[in-house]
Amino acid sequence: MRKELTRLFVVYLALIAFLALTVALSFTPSPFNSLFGLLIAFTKASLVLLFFMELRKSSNLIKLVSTIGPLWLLLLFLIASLDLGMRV
Amino acid sequence: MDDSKFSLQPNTNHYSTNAKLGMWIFLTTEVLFFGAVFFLYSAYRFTYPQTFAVASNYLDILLGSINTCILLTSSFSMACAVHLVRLEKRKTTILALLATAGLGFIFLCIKGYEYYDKYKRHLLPGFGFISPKSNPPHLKLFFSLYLTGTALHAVHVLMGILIILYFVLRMTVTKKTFVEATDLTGLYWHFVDLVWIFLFPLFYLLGRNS
Repeated sequence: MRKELTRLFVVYLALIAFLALTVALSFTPSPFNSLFGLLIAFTKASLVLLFFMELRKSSNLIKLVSTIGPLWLLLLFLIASLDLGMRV
Repeated sequence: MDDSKFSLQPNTNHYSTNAKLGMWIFLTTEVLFFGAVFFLYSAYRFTYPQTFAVASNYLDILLGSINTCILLTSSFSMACAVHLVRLEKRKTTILALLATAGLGFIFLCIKGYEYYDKYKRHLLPGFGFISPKSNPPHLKLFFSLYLTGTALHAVHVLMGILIILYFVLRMTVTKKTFVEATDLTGLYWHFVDLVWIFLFPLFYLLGRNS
């Protein structure tokens, strides 16, 4: 029990550390701020998915279903961006 | 459908893969639901990058950061509740669930204050929006997206709080633990946290260095 709770707490501390990092980075003069912000957001999301939502312990079927949503979203972004980019 | 890898605790017989699968499919529809808002945001942000960078500075980064911290903490307490309920520790589970709901409520209060502040400054579209003179056009677009994205998210937080309180009440009255219900509520709550993890940098952290 204690081991699992400790693991969750470590993940929580990592999430807070990433939050502090992303806020600090947003004030630094760099053209890649938004990119860093998004990369950190994806890292935080991965931690929540793997440890809090227990994807790492889930069956392959659940893992498959959990990737479908983001995949459809990627398709939506790609196709709709093509339309936007090609407008005259 | 072997789900044996999932359960580490003795309560494996309570667990239904079907229910978990159903929840994940529901969350997939939610990804697409919020995805539309995120796409709209991206499309306008690439069209009006300057406006978005300026508009972001009107949002309170301190309150946004505190709210992110609160939501991450609530996710942690929810994960603890899910762990504790599998060990049949009813009282500590109820405490962890109440902490989660309480943190969610504080999040909503801060969000409410932010909306009130924007309303006072005439920056809330649909509630007497007046664009500040010295600013680039299309400022209203940013605030419309901000209001849509965060309000939809806030409704999800509210729903999560109500669901948690419902199960806390049932656990208190029946003196039983609801392993599956707590687990599925946990998945929903973590998803709500995930949405905020992306909303926060997109709306609050833009253009801070300019």
